[in-house]
Amino acid sequence: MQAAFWFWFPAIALVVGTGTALSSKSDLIKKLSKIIAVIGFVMVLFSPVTVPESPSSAAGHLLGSIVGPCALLVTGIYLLAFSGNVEVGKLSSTDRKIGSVCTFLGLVWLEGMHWWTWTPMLNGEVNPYWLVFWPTFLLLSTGLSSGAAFSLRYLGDSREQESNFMLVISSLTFTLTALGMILDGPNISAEIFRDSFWLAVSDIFGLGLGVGLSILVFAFVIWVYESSLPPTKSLDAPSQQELVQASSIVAKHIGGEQE
Amino acid sequence: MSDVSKTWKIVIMAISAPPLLLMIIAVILGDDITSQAFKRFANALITGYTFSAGLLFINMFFYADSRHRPLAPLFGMMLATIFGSMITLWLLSQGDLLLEENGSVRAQALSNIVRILVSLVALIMSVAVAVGGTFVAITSRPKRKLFEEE
Repeated sequence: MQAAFWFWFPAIALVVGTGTALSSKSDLIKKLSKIIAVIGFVMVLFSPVTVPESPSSAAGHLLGSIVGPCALLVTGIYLLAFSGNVEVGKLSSTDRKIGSVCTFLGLVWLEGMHWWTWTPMLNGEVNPYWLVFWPTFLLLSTGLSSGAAFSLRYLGDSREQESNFMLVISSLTFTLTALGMILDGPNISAEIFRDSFWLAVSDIFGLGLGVGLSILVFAFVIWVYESSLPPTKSLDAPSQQELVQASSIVAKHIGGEQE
Repeated sequence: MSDVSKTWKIVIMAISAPPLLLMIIAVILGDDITSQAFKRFANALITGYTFSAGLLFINMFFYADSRHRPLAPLFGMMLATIFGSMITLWLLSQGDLLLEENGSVRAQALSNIVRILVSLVALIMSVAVAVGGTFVAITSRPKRKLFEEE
């Protein structure tokens, strides 16, 4: 009951509040949803303190541990992107420098969580959800960056330079994953990382298949309903009189002397 | 084969190639966690289905709005979600079949939900890196001349 009040209700509030804030048309509902989402977020963050005995609170602990580097990384990417050659809302060169620093610090912070002593630790052990987040993030990043690189090369026009940049990001995340499988970190051994890697692969495949299946069911339900509807009433063919009237209107508009 | 479908095949291969290479490396380094991986895959599948079906059930209200609020598709999607939940609970209650390091069905179901949320955060971050990185690469380049006369 304690876990439901201090973790699950806030978690639901966070998810529902974010969804409603993004999709609602009413300004009042948007504002209320944002407040609910923020309260939910703060309560989830504090769940390791409020309900330390609940295993789910480890997710709150992870969220608290990664919110800093993730915020730095996202802010850095935003500042870098919008201080470049954009037509509107271009940021200053100082913002570009701040963006570079933020991105660098975000990456170093995340890497320090694996390769140094900044690993999210809970009750003397590595937070189990960190072992879900980190390999999943690396695996998806290397795949998606590689996909972006080849999209730029084959779908874009003269985008080789940009494609190479994305290949560097993909290679970097690939190398970090491979190194994690071979070398021990201070808190995470190579063997544990390899196990977590396989579990992340299983998670991604399972999730993809499950979500795909539900989308198929959704499409099937709509198709069954739509095909059960009576056909729409089609209009009768135009009469001779209507055709004459239409042709006279058309003639009025396309007629004229030749230039 | 048309150029467009060939390009898409290349892009899909590009997305899958690095993870596949990493899997080959992991296989070479050799650890047998087939049983754990299967349990995780099955748990992710049933939880992913139920979670996503629940979200699509909510989405069905918007579809109903544009169709004079019919009850049939809403009911259909609700059944699909309930079916997913029941299958999930039934499979989890089959002893050691899908239970990981959790002692009870409820603990496993809740752990599955938390894990799906953590995986979603990882997905959002990786999309931010890939899409954001692409955008940074594009906007960092000096403006290109579209015409020589410009």
